Amino acid sequence: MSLNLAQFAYTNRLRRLPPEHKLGFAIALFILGYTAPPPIQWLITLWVGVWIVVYGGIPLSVYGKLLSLPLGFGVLSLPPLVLSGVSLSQISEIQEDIWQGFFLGGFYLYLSQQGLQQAGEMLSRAIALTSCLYFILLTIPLLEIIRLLQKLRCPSLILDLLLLMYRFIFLLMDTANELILAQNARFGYHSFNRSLHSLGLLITQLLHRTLENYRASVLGLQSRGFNGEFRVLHQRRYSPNLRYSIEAVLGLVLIILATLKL
Amino acid sequence: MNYRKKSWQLAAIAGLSAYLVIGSAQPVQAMHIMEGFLPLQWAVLWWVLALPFFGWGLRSLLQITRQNPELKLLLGLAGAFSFVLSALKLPSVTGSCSHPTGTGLGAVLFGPGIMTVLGSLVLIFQALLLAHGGITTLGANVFSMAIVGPWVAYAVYQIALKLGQQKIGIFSAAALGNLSTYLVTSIQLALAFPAASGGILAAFVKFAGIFALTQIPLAITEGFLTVLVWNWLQSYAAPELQTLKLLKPAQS
Repeated sequence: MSLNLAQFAYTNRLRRLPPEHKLGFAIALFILGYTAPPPIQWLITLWVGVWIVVYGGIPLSVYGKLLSLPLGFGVLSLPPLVLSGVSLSQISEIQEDIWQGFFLGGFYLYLSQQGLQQAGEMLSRAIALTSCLYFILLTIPLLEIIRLLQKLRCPSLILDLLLLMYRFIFLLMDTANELILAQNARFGYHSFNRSLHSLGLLITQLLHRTLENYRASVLGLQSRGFNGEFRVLHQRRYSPNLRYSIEAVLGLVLIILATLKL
Repeated sequence: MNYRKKSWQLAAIAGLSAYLVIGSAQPVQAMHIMEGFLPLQWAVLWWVLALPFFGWGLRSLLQITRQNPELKLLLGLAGAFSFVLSALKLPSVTGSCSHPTGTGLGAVLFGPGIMTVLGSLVLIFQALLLAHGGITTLGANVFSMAIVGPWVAYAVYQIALKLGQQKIGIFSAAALGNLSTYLVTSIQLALAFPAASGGILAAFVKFAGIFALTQIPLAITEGFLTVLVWNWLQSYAAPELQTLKLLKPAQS
């Protein structure tokens, strides 16, 4: 339970590039990643990996671990995609769909051709798009995304809520981690029943502190003349980099050309 | 032929064991469809289906915050609370761990309309801070976790209140909120990836079957946990619960 990924967004080497360039690049990759055929999707994955690890300076071990994280979901949903079972009488109906299979009791269990194809397409697309998501996650701080949304005329209530949540998520996470540490020190999680008990206490305490925070913040804001608007100081220090811009545009054009050709 | 059959059975056994080892080593990300998992048309469809609910919830929030701007803070904090709640690790009997959805508790505490907006924002943060879920699949995840889950939980809770069974109401709201989320996810996956034999229904049975292994015990655990939390809130945090009543006029 840690939020240390956010720190990469502030310390990576692409930090000084204008966020609108980075977000635009990622969105273009999202769209192309959906339309491109699988081989190009693998190339996109590789290219974004170079951006993140080589240009961005994110440690390869961190990025590798991140890429394997959502694959858990992929692994979990792989068997329902590729495995099928039918009773013996129905084998003739699915003859052309069988890739490999064997009999198990009164059933015929087989790997489905269509399922394998679906799984292959799904895997290459999911990895390509996940790496695009990681590009956003690891190189653009969330506050800059919120600021970009503001420029795009996103409703101000959503932005205020995002800003407040971003602020308090870290505070509450700290509180929760401290509580967990204290409970752990007292064997709070040594058995299943204890864990449930401790977790219940933790959540109650957390809600209590959340609302304490609320009252304190309201007092603080009221004493400063709060009129329903949150204003935050923002300094802009970005410098576009010609070399990166050229590589991004050239790469995107190449992907489009390759997609049209294949 | 016999030899080939045997080698296939061996391969299947090896594959299954490898799958179980790898699959159970990682904590299951509480039913978030990962980035890029859905084909384009389905990703778009779920976005389109989720947006009206989100807009409706947002409109009711606009009304209460216009009357009372400080409630923005309460909403932001409630959202942050929901986020931290969903990042906690649920103990599990099987040894692998997972996260509670928190939709049941959220729906009962804040109301389902508000939970739709807060839940969607939580999902955005999970995608951008924790790498759970994704942007293209946000619509689908919002639909299952922030729309169906809270509404089911809220409806169950209201029915139980009418029957005068509050404790059972809390338990079933949390458990069924969790379960319905996973059922909707299974339906979403089945619609996107129908099986060659048996079509959507067969695919649904397969997806739901796989997820049921982990999700049914987790749903029950979350139900018990929520009852524990509710008991403590009743006895030690009654004034706090009064504060949350400020949000209630919105959904009537």
